[in-house]
Amino acid sequence: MRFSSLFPDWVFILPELFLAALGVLTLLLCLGRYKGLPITRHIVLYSQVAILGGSILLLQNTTTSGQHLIYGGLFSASVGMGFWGVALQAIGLIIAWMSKRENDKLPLEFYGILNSGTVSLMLLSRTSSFFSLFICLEASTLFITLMLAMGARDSHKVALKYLLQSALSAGLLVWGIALLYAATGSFSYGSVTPRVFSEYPILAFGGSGLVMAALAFKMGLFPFCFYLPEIYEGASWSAIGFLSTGSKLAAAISLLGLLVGPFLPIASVYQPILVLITILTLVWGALSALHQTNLKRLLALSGVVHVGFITAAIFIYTLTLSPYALQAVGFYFMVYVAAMLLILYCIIEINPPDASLSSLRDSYGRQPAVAVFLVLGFASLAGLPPLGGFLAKFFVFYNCLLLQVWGLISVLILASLLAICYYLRVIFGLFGRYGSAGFLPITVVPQPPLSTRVFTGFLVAVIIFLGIAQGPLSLLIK
Amino acid sequence: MTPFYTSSDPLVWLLTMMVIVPFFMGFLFLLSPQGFSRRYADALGLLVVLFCLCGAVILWLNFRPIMAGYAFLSTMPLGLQAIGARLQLGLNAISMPMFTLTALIGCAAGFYAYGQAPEHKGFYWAFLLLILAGLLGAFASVDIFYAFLFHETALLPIFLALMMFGGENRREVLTESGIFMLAGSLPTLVGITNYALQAGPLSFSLIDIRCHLANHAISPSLQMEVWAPLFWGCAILSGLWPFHGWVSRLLTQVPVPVSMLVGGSLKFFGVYFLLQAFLGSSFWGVDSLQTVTGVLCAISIVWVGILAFRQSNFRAMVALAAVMHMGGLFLALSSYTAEALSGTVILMLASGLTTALLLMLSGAVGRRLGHLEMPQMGGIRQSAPVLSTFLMFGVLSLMALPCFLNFWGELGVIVGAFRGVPLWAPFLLAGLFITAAFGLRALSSMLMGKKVEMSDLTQMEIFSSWILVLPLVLLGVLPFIISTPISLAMKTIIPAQL
Repeated sequence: MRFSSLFPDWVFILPELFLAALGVLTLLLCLGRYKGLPITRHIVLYSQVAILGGSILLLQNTTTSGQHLIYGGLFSASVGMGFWGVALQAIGLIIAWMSKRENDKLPLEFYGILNSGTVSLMLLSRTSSFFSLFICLEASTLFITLMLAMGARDSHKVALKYLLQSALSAGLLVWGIALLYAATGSFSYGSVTPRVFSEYPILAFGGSGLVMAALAFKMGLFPFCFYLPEIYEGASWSAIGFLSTGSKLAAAISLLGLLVGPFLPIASVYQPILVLITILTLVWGALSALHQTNLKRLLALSGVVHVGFITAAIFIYTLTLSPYALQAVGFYFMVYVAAMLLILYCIIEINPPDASLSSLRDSYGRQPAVAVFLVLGFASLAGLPPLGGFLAKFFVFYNCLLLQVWGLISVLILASLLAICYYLRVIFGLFGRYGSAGFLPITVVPQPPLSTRVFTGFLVAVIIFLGIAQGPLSLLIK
Repeated sequence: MTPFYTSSDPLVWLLTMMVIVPFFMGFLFLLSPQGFSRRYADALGLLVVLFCLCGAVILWLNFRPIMAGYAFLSTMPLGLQAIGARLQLGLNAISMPMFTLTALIGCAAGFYAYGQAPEHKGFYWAFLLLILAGLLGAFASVDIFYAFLFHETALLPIFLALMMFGGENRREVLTESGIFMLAGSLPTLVGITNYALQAGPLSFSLIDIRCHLANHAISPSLQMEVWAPLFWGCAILSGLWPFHGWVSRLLTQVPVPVSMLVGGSLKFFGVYFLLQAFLGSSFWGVDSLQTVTGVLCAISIVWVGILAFRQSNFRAMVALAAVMHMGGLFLALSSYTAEALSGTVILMLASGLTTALLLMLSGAVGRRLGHLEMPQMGGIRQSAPVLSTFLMFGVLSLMALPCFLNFWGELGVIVGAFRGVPLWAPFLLAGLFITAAFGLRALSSMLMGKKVEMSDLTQMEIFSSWILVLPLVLLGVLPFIISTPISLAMKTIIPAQL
């Protein structure tokens, strides 16, 4: 008898199950005498690669059309969800290799926590019940806190800060879920019908607002973004990678699912608030990033601006429900994630003494190829053609242009221009030694390891490919 | 489902490959800058630029427009069909000369780049090939969105080349040119999107837009919404006065092969784009901007000409002379007569070749003498006769003397301008006098006088010069080779009333 007929629901979350098993196994290994062996770390890393390969194969062979609920309505299963799951898994894999490069003496526990955190985010992107939403969100918070605590010196303070901030978010979420439960008597998304909003307006509107606020907190939207620079500044580069890509992506997918799912009947109420939050996020992020001299803080604040762009696309999607707007959301996220991971990988490879912008000065002279890759990453985030970042921003602009929301378009243009200014500042630093004509001198040219060349090469190819041919990704996002 | 290719003609494949091959090789060099030894990098790079040149010549010889004035049409949907953009490649009477010009300059720049930047060979070729691919793609794109995208594609490698291999003022120039390029690109993108949304059946393809406009008139207010941002965007990108400074400074700071491609080809994209986008449409009925255009062009010709005259640095003079041509080209566009439009295409070709030649020679002189100050040069003709000969060819061509292609281009533009915009046409003649003045002064300063010791051009540099000089002289002596196909092909595009 086939496995799928015995456990029909399990097939859909096989990658999550395997990855969770790997996480648990890794943590168990930490108890034994194999903990310190380099081979153990390699086995864990290559197992991740194998699970990702299996997930891609599974995704290709999944023929389920539409969306259906599994595990008693806790999660939803569809090809689209599987795609985002694979994307989150790929993020986890790249961060695992990145962290190995950042700190070769990183405890083995880190990989177990990273894998468990990835599983929680993968499940978060699939939630179809407020109960599973709460569990997954809190689980991811716990794992991210642990990852932050494993960073450099004084990282426990950062982890504590993050935990305290997340407690606020958890409070909002629990309160919101409680109000919605009081109105509907169920945790299921499907129970939040238009009738509920008319019969119990205070409970339903209040609950929806609080749940959205909790997810906005996770995404780092205004006014829940003030804590981000502090957290990023004290975190390791790898933890920043997880926080800025995986965590935001999963939260955005959940928010999108709620906005066009159970909360769609109140779209006319939340849309003005959403557009206001988007504008404030863009303006605050861009203006704050402009004068930053610390690279980690700059990445945190520029990340806020990118989330603003994504929220603008989400806003358009809630207005039109057009597949092109959805494509804009997905495309922007994929390009942002690829560029961000590339930047972090390159920074780790350059190994600056601290996180100040001046510490990257003249990186070209020491690591020419890595410096050029870093430029490509920043150029993509700035939205320069022919890189994916340009088209990602263009899709958002185009969708806004079709709806003629001129106020939002103006703010988007302003944020783009400011973004170019602060990213150019970083790029200038990489090529130091101004004032001397001719070719920049190269002092040391160390060859990066194969894993770095493979991953950075792959990420560069992704941002360039997405700038040229968007067809395959658009198809997957749809 | 849209087919990946709409033709199986080998020439169609050749056109596509001419865009893809330099792109692919550029990325290969970029991803593995240290993976090629200097010798292999040079050999591969030269092979690619030679392939592009041979391909361009083959396409020119087989140029027979078949559909809406275009030849070698192919379509590749890359994922933007939903917004009406497809990678549609093809060449018409305007793009064919520009495409060939780019291939010629790319090849000449490639031969000049041979032996340069030995430590950075991978990056050097990567940037050169990516700029070349971007420009070839921009001129071969029938779809205006992809034409814009390809143009922008060429900009990033220019910035990188400037940062790594640029002159001593690279930081200031990088900031300045970045701001101006952005200021030019954003309105251009807005104009393009407006054009596709308002003028066509949600398509960026020029063929679709022209078909649609042939049967549907657009109100004057909507015309202005499209025309105004596009005009300003292209004026900034081309360096029309008062936006002339950044182009000339960029040309003096980027490495020589890059400056050849920028000054000889990229600079014309704005004029080319306006010409392609509005040819065959009724948009030129927007007369209200004709006065503004006339004023800007007149100042551009005279003021930038005076600035060029005041220059003591040879490369800065050439850069300003190149920018000065923009005034004439925009004036010819605004006159919108058949002679002026044909003359514009020929003048872009001639001016591109001349600028590239002079920039290349300025690089050769600068590398040998360590400076480009004309008053300090004196008689380089005794020590470097070959270089001096090519220099004379370049400067005389710049002055639009007969037997050079520039002459026919200037003639067409002036005759057309006197028909279309007689008030502003005399400024074109004034421009010729100014060019002759600073050209002759430059020749006198550099070639005459006390002998200066310097080596002559290398074999590669001579070959590079011949690639540029040969078409200038050949087409100057036998202009019908270019004017006949352009005039014939133009008839299929230009409205009958012209």
